[in-house]
Amino acid sequence: MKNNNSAVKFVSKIILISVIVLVFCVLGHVLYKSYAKTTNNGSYIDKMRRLEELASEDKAVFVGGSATHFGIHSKYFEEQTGIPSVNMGLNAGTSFGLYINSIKPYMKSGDVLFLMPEYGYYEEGWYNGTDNNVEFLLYYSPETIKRTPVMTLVKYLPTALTVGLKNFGFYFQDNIRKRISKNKVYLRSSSNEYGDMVIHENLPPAEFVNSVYDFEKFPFVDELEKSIKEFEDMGVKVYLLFPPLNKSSFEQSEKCANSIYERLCKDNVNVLYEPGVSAYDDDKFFDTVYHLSFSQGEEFTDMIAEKFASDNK
Amino acid sequence: MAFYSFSFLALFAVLSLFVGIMPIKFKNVLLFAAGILFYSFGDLSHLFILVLLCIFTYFTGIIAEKNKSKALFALVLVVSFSPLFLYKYLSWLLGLAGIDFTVFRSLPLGISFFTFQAAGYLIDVYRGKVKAERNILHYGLFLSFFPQITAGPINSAELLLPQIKNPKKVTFAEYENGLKNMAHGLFYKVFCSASCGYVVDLVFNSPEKTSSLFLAAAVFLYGFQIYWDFNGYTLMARGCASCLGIEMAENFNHPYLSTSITDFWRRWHISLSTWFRKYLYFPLGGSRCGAFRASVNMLIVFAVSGIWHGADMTFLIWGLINGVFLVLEKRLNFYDNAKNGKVRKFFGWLYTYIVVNAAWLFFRADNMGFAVNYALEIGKGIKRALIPSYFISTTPLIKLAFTAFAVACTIFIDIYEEKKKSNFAEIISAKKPLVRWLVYIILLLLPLCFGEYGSSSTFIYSRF
Repeated sequence: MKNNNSAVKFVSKIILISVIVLVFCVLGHVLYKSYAKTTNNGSYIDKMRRLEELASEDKAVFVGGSATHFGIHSKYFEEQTGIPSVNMGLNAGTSFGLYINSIKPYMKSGDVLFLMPEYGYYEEGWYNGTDNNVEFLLYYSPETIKRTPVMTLVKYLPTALTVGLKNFGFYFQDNIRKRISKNKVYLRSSSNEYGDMVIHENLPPAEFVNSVYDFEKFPFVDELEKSIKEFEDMGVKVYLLFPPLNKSSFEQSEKCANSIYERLCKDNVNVLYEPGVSAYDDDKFFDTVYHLSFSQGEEFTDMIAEKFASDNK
Repeated sequence: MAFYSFSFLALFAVLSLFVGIMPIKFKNVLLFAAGILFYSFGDLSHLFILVLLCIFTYFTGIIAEKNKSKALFALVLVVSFSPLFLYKYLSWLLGLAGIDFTVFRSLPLGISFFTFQAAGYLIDVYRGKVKAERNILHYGLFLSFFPQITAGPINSAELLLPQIKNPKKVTFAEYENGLKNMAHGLFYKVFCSASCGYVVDLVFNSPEKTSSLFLAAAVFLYGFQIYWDFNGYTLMARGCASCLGIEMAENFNHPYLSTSITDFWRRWHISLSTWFRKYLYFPLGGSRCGAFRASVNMLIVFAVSGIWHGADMTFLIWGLINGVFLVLEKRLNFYDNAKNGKVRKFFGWLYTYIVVNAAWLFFRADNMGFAVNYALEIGKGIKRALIPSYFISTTPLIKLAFTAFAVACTIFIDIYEEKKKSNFAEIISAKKPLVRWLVYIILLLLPLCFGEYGSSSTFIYSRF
């Protein structure tokens, strides 16, 4: 009897603690959800809105991480080519698979899709990036949940719990940060209506360190090619772009970049240019080795527009 | 798989449930299987080393019980230590000889810990202090018990084997106590150590841009970081074991309240210090062989202890600094003197605290060049801006505030525990329910909401 009482007491305590933790997790999600919309990642909501508006038109869509967000000027691309454009690039911490799933319903025959995966993506799996992925699904593109494999969603469940708890903490920390930080770059309002990062136009560049990519296997490529095929079957013209990288990082990553290029060419992927073409001097970058400065972003876009035009003569 | 990862906690919950409801005769099988599974999450080839060492020391233990040949036993010990030597020290020694050759790229998880535990068992059997274990499952569990395998404590056969041989049902009080220790450990590791580590890393990454005050403070903060990290791990490991009805060795007893270096080494990493005392210092002759020889013995022990932590000159120097001060204390009879009187105690504490923390610089440094350069920068930093520019940003300031809070909590907890001669869980259990609940909710939520528990965060001692 005494043992039974202890068991009931013990189990009650465990349940109570679990409920308290769960409450804080839910509270974290609720508090952060509205706050998340003001962050840089929140700009995905605007990008999706523009994509939705262009759904029935023939359009150009750029997909990638922050190198796309900073480096592609889709507004400029639209002016150069006359094709309505949208920059869906955001953050390489979120998996490429989720970005692709989120745009799929809005793509149709006649569209042009530019895929610019960051180098880091090639080393990872299609759905890597758990914390960011959970936030992406919960806060920025909840419709994507429907198109995400069930097993992937199951894998995210524990992360959803920890992300909720962490976001409870972030909510307070970010509020403090917002009050005292001078850094206004990474906010939703930093992008224009096309989804291009524009806030850094008149900002001085920050210090950054090199990134070196030297992996030999590319588990990402199989999924990438599968996805390209799906879009091509829909009648979408797909181009693969290599992201910008500063020259000193590129020199150390060249072997890896060229191996990726060779593999994609061998598999007949429509690659618009060789990786070395988007390697630029350090002073052409803003705050990392792959975030182009505003003016260089325009030049980079110009190069893409030219190569695209010559390919479609 | 870290103790604070979701996958570990989920597997642990299932395991402890099974251990609780299954007949007691299955307990050891379950725990052994869990140990193997836990170890398999790392490199599978490393599991082979653990299994091989387990089989070898199991059979040689039985032989050593009957055959007392010194030469044979020495050979057995040499073979037992050989995987540790090959994986951890061979490349380093080749490097010292000018040969740049990496024998093995990665170190098997916890190899220094389970090798020492196995060697301790063999020596105890040889000396006749414990009987050789005949049941290979029991012996296998003794070596592979998962809460201890990552970073100890190094449990003696005397403590662990009887508990394995006579398994008992876990009581709810043991469960509760274990979970409280785990929460305490989680707070230390995931909140305190991680916040402090962020601040320390910032300074150690740019010593040439940092003021003397911040450079010196970072060394002292590293002392806290490593204490939280290792004590946090130990609390979680002992908590896990408690939930499975097994008591493990103590590893910490408020080391930063020590009033001498001698005292410090009786309170810091107790299971390793005990191992060295029992199996190296005493066999060398201990302190009963003349003052000079005793001093040499002590220096040998601390040099080996330093190298045990890592194959690098920095660890050797760290060990020797501690050894030299210990020898001096012994010669000056400092340990007994520092215990008497409040003023003596205070100055004893201050001196110990400064020496212990200054020595951590070598423990933290990647190489000797860095350690020397860092020490020189402390002198040069007097001309630099007091608060480094890279600190004037929100995240470092938040982490600094968390660290200050963690330091205050730790000082309070350590002094309170020392005064009450009890541990935190017991002290809190005696408080009113509201206080009890509040303390544990805070202890749990601070790390969960503000801590670092991603893949980047690992235990410092799991590298050894």
